[in-house]
This record gives sequence, structure tokens and C-alpha cells, in this order.
Amino acid sequence: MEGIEIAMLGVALAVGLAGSGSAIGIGIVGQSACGLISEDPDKFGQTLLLQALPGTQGIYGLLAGFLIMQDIGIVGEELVELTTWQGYAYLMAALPIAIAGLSSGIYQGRVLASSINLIAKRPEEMGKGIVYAVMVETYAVFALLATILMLFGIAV
Amino acid sequence: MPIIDMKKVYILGHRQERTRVFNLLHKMGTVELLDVKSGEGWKEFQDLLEPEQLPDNISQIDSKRSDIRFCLDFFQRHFPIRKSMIEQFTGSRLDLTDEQFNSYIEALEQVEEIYKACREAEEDLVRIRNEETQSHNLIEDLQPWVPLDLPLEEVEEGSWTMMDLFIVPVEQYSALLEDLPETISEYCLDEVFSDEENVYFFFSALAEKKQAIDELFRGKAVSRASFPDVTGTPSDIIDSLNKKLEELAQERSAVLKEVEKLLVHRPMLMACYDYMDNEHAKHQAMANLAGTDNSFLLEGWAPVPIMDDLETTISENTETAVLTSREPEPDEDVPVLLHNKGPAEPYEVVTKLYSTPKRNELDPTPFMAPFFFLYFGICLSDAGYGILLGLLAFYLYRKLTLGESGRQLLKLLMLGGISAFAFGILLGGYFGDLIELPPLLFNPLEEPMTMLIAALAIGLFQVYFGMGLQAYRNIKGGKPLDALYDQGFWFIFLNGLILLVTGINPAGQWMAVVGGAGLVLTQGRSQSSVILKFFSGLLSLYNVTQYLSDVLSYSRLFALGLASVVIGMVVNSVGELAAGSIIGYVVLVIILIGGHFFNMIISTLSSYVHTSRLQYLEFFNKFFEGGGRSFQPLRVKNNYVDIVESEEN
Amino acid sequence: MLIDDTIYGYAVARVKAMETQLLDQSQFERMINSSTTEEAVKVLSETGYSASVAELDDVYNFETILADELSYVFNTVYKISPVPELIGMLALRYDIHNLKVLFKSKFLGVKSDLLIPVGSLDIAKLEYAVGEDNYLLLPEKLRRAANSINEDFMINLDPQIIDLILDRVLYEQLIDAAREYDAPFLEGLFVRQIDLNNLKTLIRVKRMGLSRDFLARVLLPNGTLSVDRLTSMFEEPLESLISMLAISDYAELVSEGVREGLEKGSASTLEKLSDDFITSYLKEGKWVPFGVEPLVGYLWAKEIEIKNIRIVLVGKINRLPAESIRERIRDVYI
Repeated sequence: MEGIEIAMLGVALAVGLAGSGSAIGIGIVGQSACGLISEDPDKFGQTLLLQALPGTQGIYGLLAGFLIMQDIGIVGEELVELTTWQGYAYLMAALPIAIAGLSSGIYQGRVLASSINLIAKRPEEMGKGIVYAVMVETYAVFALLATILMLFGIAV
Repeated sequence: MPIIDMKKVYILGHRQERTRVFNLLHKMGTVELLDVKSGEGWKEFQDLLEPEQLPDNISQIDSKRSDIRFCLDFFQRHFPIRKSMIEQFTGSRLDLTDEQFNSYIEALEQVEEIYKACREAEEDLVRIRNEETQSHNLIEDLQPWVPLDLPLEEVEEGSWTMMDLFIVPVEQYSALLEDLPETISEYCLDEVFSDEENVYFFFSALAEKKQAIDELFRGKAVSRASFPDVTGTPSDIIDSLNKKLEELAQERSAVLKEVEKLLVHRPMLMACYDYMDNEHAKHQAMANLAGTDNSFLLEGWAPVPIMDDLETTISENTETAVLTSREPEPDEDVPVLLHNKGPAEPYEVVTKLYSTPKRNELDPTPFMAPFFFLYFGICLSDAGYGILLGLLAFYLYRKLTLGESGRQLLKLLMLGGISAFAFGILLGGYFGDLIELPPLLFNPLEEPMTMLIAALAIGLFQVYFGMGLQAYRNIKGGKPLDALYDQGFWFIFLNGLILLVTGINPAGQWMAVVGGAGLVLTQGRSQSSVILKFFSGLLSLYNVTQYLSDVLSYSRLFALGLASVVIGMVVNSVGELAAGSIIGYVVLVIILIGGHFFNMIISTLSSYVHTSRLQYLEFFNKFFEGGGRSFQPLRVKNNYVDIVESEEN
Repeated sequence: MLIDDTIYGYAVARVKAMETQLLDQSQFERMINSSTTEEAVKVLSETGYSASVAELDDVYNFETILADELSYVFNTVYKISPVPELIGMLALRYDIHNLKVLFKSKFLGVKSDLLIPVGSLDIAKLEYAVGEDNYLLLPEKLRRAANSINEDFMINLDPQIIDLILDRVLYEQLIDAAREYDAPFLEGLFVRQIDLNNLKTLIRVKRMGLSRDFLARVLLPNGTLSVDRLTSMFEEPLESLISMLAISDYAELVSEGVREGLEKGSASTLEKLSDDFITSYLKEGKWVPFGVEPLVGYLWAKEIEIKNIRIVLVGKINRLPAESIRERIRDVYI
């Protein structure tokens, strides 16, 4: 394979896997939210906020993908010539956010489903439910950080 | 002093004035009442004091309150007030001026009438619903018999013949048909209808064979379908039932129309409910009194700054009541009221989400506030979003009537907007890269390592600051050695390590050795034996990983700051793809507005929560315990209405 | 996380929201303190029961409200549960209850209790089956049980047979079903119910002076306390039961229940403690985010709530003092 293709595989993994993590996470929270809303429609706003939280992994994935695309010239000017090894470097750089985005999205969704159960009983404690979920997100942030640092390290 | 000092207050007065005193306290909302009976100091007077019984009229209040509640619930069921998106967070209340509120309360006698009307309407609705279900059930039961063109009253036993309608499970039907001729010779079986489960049939035979037939039918689980109270053919009956259903529906809408007329009283009922609820709370609180035949005594906590005010209010408005106060004893359970002034005040909401400080602890709010302000700005770091967020929060702040924490949150967001605006200029973010201005400081996209190191440096500073606060607490608490052992040695050790690893200064290794030795020697000091002391001291060095991960955690500032800007850039690039034609520019504008708004909301949310997290886990755990009890005075609490200043003033 | 347990998300969140409608201690306290039955019923009209209270023409007919509520709640949870079979399992208890009531009214001519329209079998079907002695429409195991009740009763004329035979069928089926669906939490529930049932049987048999053989015959299998162990306790006086079970889970329950029972000669304390015991077991699963536990817990909570309402209202109707109502009230789940 040419370098450019390998790098694009990296883009695909970052956006696709992290996005899947978000999709699954949001789906889990959504199910719980529907259960709550069917009894107590007034909590729609609160549940929507909670449901949005696992969306960040997908955004981080998109962000990493975008940075790579910009680097290799898919967005903007002309395609950059990449050696195979440079291509692999981009692929590797994409992996942290791809992997951690997938798992942290799912588990953040699970924590938030419990937070939905929490606000079903004590809506005033929503803040704490969010804090717990953010604990999970931390690792997606770190993965993104690793991805970004790796990307900046690649010289094309 | 951010934690307000409290004093124990006692109010003693003539029994006749106790309601007046309670009304005053309730209105002022500044005294937290205690249960006198359970108070330690009153043991020796136990014989003198009569424990106060719940006032008799409490059950009247209770029943009135539940009447109003019923009416409001009834209205809500049939004519619901839906909450808007914002109200779902802030709660929806009715704004009333003092005069309006009082005029509603004067109309309290009307409640009984409204209650009766609601009750009657409810009963009507229930009756209508019951009749509807009956009709529906009957229609359902009759449905299979529609093909039967025979008035049901004619299906009856004669003296010579028996005839009736029967239902048999499908799986028994063929067996029934087989066995029938063996039992009797002459009969008429007419299958009317069949579905997946049952076969419905008309059957008639000679009456004298009835017993044999019953026997046979029982063996095949055949049941009789009887419609005792109706006349006509099944399809006629269904028609008339449908007509009845229509009438019932009309009747319901007539009842509901009547109810709708009652809706004008809703605000009045809301005001009365809150009034009754407060009366109830007040009366319940009166049970905390102690008293004799002619006097009453009340005990509670009040914040020191309002003491004078409280004293004059009591003495001016009553004839007999006197107030005394004393300083709290060291071991008393004193409630905590936070009071920060100026820009630190809104950050109380962050502290309270974690925990209320203990009474003799430092309130972390003012120490945390500047960091929060800074981090929020770094995470959002876009001048455009900053302006937008600030204006949005300001608008909501002006428009909504909110509780204390809601107001604080919006103020915090306004400050956050300012901070984000500043960092946007410093780091060059204006709606992503929509407006390309050179950064005042540097561009983190071009100099990521500078940004990362800056984030970690700020983190290290905050961690040291937290340690410093704990050292201060230790020294102030009379334990200066603890400050040296637990914070001083760590400070030396960590700095030594940093110098060593970065190779800035070779003196680092000596600092590390001195600090490390100090830690090994002191960290096991609570252990009993020398060996244990040494090993737990040695083991404590492992905590260096804790500090390391604390500081590394601040790298999120860099990642989040970059994320909000880069996503803004993504929005811009996607928009650019559309630009070109006229329609393209329209699409471009839509993408820009929608995309940037979305990014602003999401980035604000993650800036808020991640910044909070840094305070809670990396900063607070160095010096703050929390677990205090927050001050809960007896005060007016409303569920449905807010009393606002009348518009003239 | 091999099996996707998040299918429970919807049902659990919904049940959590429904839990907020459960009556709490203070509402029961208000009912207990109210001066008349009407006033106590009025407290109910501020709660989830308000609609059905409005339909009530006579407070003495409150049982219909309770039966309606139970069947409504049961059907709702059944419908929202991603594995309805697990909830259906619990419905079996009501089929058995209904059969018991019908058999008793057939043999003894007394209507001991209301029929509860919750079970999986239609009440009309059951009435027909028992009334006409025609069990064709019942599932096989119940059919066999019904036949053996008929035979046994003809020989012994002992109505206790009804409870014993039906309980045995019930718990055999429950344990089998729980194992089949691999639901350890439910199995734990059933095992505890079996144990409690056996303990009560043991005490009752002793009190009635029946034989050890009889006891061995009526104890239910599958409990944590084996049938042998329980029968071996038969010869000992009731007081020593306390020490013999001192290291089991039931220590506290037995010591308090038996002591009160000996003093007052009534089993009501033991009944209350048994219910509280089950409640505390189910509370362990209360915060499971994805699983059947909160659903089962909620159904039980509702059952206890209904029992409590019944205790209060019956107490009010019979003008019992507040104190004696209060001590019968079961712990609430919330």
C-alpha cells in the first residue's frame, strides 16, 4: 500500500471507532432516558444533557481524523506524497483515540444510564451524575492528547 | 471570612406571642431552629418544660392543603402546563407581586367551592370512563356474533326446546362435532364465527336432552355466551352502543369545558397552596418549642452578621420576647453558611456540588475561583465563543427568576465567557479560524509542546498551592511539624525530582535525597514499631505516582482547548466546501451558525465539567475535607409562585 | 459484557421514575394519624392512587382499588421488561393464590380472599375450571395438582391440603424457571421465600401439635435450610429454635418473631419480619443499572405498599389504636 492509503485507514479508524463508541454510549443513555421520560416528561431537558455527554468521543475522533486529513492534504490543497512508513506513522497516531474513544464512549454511556436512574429519584443531584461520567471521559481526553502529540511529531 | 460565624440564639417570650415570633422568623428566614426537647442543656429542666404538642389546627391546614393539591393535580391532568426547555432546569413558577399574592390569599374561602366543583367533575369523568369501558367490552364480546341475524332476547329456553350461544376452543371443536351425533340425534348447530382461539356457534335441541348436552359440553370446555341485559340483533346493539359512546364523548367534553372555566382560579390556587404549605411548615416547626403554661422557649442558630437586625426586629415587634445568644461550644454541630464576596461568589456553586465545608475548615471557594476562571478560559479558548457565551448567560440572568445556585451558575458562565474571550485573543481563536488574527501569545496548533508544558506548569502550581494551604492549616492548627513532614518534605522532594529529571540544575539530586530521606523518616510516624515506621515511610515514596498523575491530568487543558478550536475549524472547512453559488452561501451561513453554536454548547459543557473535575480531584484532595452541614433556616419556600417586586419600583 | 445487558436500560429507568410515586413513611404516618377511615383514604388521593380513589363510592370497598393497582403495575412492568418471562414467573404466585381461594370457597364455602387478576391464567377460566371440576384448560402441572387436591380432600377432608399442595407446585415451578432462565437473583428470592415458608410451617405444625411425619411431608425442598435439618428441630421446644438458627441468615428474624409469638400468641410479628427480610434482600439489587433486579424490587415494593395500605385501612375501620397499626406496618422499599 501507498502511504496515503495507510494514513486514510487511520482517519477511518479514528472517526469510525470513536464515533461508534459515542453512538453506542448515546444509545444506551437514550434507552434509559426514554424509560424515565415515559413517566416524567418534565425531565426531558436534563436527560438530553446527559445523553449528549458520550458524544464527545465521536467529536475527538473526528478532530483527530480532521488533523490527519489536513496534514495529508485531503482537506484543502493537494495530496501530499507519503512514504509507506509515514503512512504507518499516521495510522499509529490515530489508534489511541480510536481505541479509547470506543471503550470510553460505551462505558460512559453505562455510567450515564445510572445517572438517569439517579435523577429519576433526585433531580437535584444531576451535577454529581455528570461528574461520575466525566471520570470515564478523562481517558478519551488523554488518548486524544496522545494522538495529537504523535501527529505533531510526524514530520512530512 | 467566607464561612459565616454562627451564634446560638434563644428566644424566650410569653406564650401568646409565639405565633407572632414565628411569623417574624419565617419571614426573615435567617434562623435555623433546633429541637429544644432533645437539647442536652435542658435535661435538668425537663420537669419544668412542657413539650409542645403539634397545634390542633395543623390537621385543618393539612386537609386544606391537600384539597388545593387535588384541584391543582386535577387541572394538571386535564389541562397540563408544559414546562419549556429552560424551565425544566430552572423550574417554572408564577411571578406574583406582594399585592397580588395577598389578594389571592384573601380569596382562600373560595377554595372549598372550587374543590367541590373539581370533585364533581372528576366523578363525572370517572363515571363516563366506566361507562365507556363497559360499552367497549360489550362491543368486543358481541363482535363475533354480528353474523347472527337474530334478536338476542329470542335466544331463550322454551319448554320444548333449548337454544343458546356457545363458545368452544378451536382445538375442541372437531371433537365436539364428532361426539354430538352420538349423544343426541336431533339438533341444530350453526357456526356463527370463528377466530384463532375459539369457535362461536348457535345451538338448539330438544329441552329433554339438556342434561346430556351439558355433560358433553363440559367435557369439551364449551362455555355459554350470555347477554342478559340487551335486546336486538348483535349488530343493532353494537350500533346503539357506538351511538352511546359518541354521547359519552360529548358529555366528557362538556364536563371538561366546565373545568376549563375553573382554570381562572389556577393562579389563586397556586398562591394558596404555597401559603398553606408555608403555614404547615411553620406549625410543624413550632413542635420544636418548649414551653410552660405561660411561656415559650425557642433555640436555634443564626449568622452573626444579622444578629443586631434579628434583635431589633424581635424587640420592636413583640412586647415580651427577648433574645439572648452565645458563642458555639467547640463540639457543637454548627451549620455552615458560605458567604463569598465579589467575583469569587459564583464559584460557591462548584464547591457546593462537591461538599459543604466543615465549620472550622477553610472555605476553598476563593482559592479555587481564580483557577476555575483560568481553566475554563483555556478549555474554551475562543474569543467568539467567549463573547457569545457571556452574552447568552447575561441574557438568561436578566430574564429568568432563579434560585441562588442558578444565579451563581449563570454568573460563573459570564465570567467564563470573559476568560474564554481573553484566551481566544491570546491564543488566536476566533470561531475556530473564521477570523484569522495572529495570536498575541502563540498558536497552540503550531507550538503544541509549549502549550502542553504551560498546562502542566499551571497544574503543578495548583498542586503546590493546595499543599501550601494544607501546610497553612497544619500550622494554624498547632501542628507545624506536620506541615514540615507532610508538605515540606514532599515539596523539596518533588522539586528535586523535577530538577533532576529535566536536568536543569544538578542540585536537584541533593534536594531529592534530602526530601526523600525526610519522607522515609517521617511518613511512618503513626506506626508503633521502628521497622513498621521505616517500611511505611519507604512505601510512602510510592505516592510520587499520585503527584505525577495529578499533574499529568492537567494536560486535558491543552487537549480540550485544542479540541474546541479545531472543531470550530472543521465547521469552517465544511462550510467552505459549500460556498460558491448563492445557495451555497446560504448553506454556508446555516452551517456556520448551527455548527458554531453546537460546538460552543458542547465545548462549554466539557470545559465546565473538566474544570470542575480538576478542582475536585487534583486540588481539593490536597487540603479540603468537606462534609459540613449546610445552614437551613426556617424560611418561606414556594412551590408554585415567586414573589417579585411590583413593577413600579 | 458478553451478553448485552443494556436492554434493561429503558425498563430500569422507568421503574426508577415509578418508584418516586411509592408512598413513603411520612405518608403512611399521616394515614395512621388520621382520625377517620375517610381521612386516611384522602391521603391516598394525593398520591398515585388519586384516580382510583375518585372512583371509590364507599371507603369499605378499598380492596378493589388495591387489586386494580396491583394488576396495573404488574402488567406495566411485564410489558416494559425486555425478558417478560422473568416477570411472568412472578405472576405464577397469583395463579396459585387464585386457585387457593377458589378451592377453599368450593370446599369450605367461604370466600377467604379476593381473586387477584394478575396471574397468567384468566380468572374466568380458573373459576370455570374449579367450579366445574374441569381442568382441561390448565397447564399440566397445575392440572395434576388440582386433581390431587380433589382426591386428597375426598379422603382426608383437610383443607390445609390445598395450601400445601399448591405451594409445593408453585415453588417447584419457580425454582425450575429461575434455573432455566439463569436468573440467580430470582432464585435467591425464591430460596429465601421457601425458607421463610418452611420456618412458618415448622412453627405452625408444632403449635398445632401435629406429627413429625406430617411436617416432613409438607416442608418444601430447595431451601437453604434442608428439610432434614428442619424436621430435626421438631422435637425441640420453640425457644431453642432461636439458638439453633443463631448462625443462619434468619437468626434475628427467628429470635424476634418467635419471642413475640410466644408472648402474644400471634404470628403477625413473624409475618412482618418475613416481609421485611425479603425487602432487605431485594434492596441489595436496587441500584443495579441493567438487570431484572430493580423490576422485581419495584413489584415487591408495590406489593408491600398495598399490604401496608390494607393494614392501615383495616385498622382504621376497626378503630385500632395508632400504635398497634404502626407496629404491623412493613418497612418500605425506598
